[in-house]
Amino acid sequence: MGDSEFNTNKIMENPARFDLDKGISSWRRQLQEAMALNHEEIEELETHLRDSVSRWEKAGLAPEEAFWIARRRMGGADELADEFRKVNPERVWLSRGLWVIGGFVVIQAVLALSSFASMAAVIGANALIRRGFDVGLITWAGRKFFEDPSRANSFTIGTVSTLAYLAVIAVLGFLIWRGSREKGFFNRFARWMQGHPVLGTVTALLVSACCQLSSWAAFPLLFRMVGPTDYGTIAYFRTFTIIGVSLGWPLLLGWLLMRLSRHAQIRN
Amino acid sequence: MPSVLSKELVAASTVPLVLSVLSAGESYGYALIQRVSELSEGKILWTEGMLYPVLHWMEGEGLVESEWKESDAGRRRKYYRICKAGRKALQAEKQQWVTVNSTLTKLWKTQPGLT
Repeated sequence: MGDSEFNTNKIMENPARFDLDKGISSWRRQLQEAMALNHEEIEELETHLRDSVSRWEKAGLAPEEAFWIARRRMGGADELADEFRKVNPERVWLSRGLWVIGGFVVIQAVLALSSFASMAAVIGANALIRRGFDVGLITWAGRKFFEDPSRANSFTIGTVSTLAYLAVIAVLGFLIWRGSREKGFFNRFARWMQGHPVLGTVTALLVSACCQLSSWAAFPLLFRMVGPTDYGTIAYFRTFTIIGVSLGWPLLLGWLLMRLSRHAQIRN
Repeated sequence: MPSVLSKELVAASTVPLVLSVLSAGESYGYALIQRVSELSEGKILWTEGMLYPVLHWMEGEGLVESEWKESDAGRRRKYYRICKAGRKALQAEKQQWVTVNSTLTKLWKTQPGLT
């Protein structure tokens, strides 16, 4: 919530260098995030706000004081949004629908990307390890557990590809998280969808269809590169790695959270 | 005592007030609020959150039409103008308000204790 709240401290620090346009653009962002007003309505309210600021400035107030009073008088973004929603209740549903579509596309894209990443990991690990590439502990464990060298190789490929795949997912997850936090990616996306609901929905459906189709289409390629029988054995070993990891990461997360909470307590 | 209009009366009177101001010439949201506040000596205080949705509703009903124009100061403003249907609606409103007003006035004249 920190971002959507208007930054009081910044303004108070530099009363001499108050930037009205900056103040107004922050105010606009709040209104956009409330998702009840369209672009034109926000534009109209902005003119109103500027008129009001001019009036208070003429009455002898400093620019930032004039801005604060004008903004106060207009009411908060939530109040304004509530009033506009009363007149256009269908907009609430429109914005919810857009979020659902957006979430659907994101999930489809992440699923497709992760399936590509998984296939690429298998193909890459297969090519490397069949050529005798040594991955230290994992190669050692494969040779120790399985006498049959082909099975030992499949174990190594399965484990390495799963780890590579999980690394790709972690990086993707991190990028999405950072994008949503720092660049307001999701807000921008929602705003764009609001402006172009029909085009946005059609694009979303096309993108998710392409994601689905391309991840299916990649399977024959995978079988050509790895061979269905080998892939079967590799997939069998991958299951164990995935089970191991899915049991392991909650423990890791729990440990991290415990450490963090202790750290936070010390700081407080 | 500056008695501010009750919520219900504000809701009922906004449309006829807007139509009446606009019947004298086009105007924009900020000026409408100022004008009504001025004429009512500060007793009718409209908020932006109330006025703009009503204006947009009136536009949807075809009572008023709007146009973006640049002011002398270079500020783009959305001006509202009354339409034919708006003038008709204003006539009907006028009759109703006059009826209420004259009835109340008559009642209060016969019962001076009420004022």
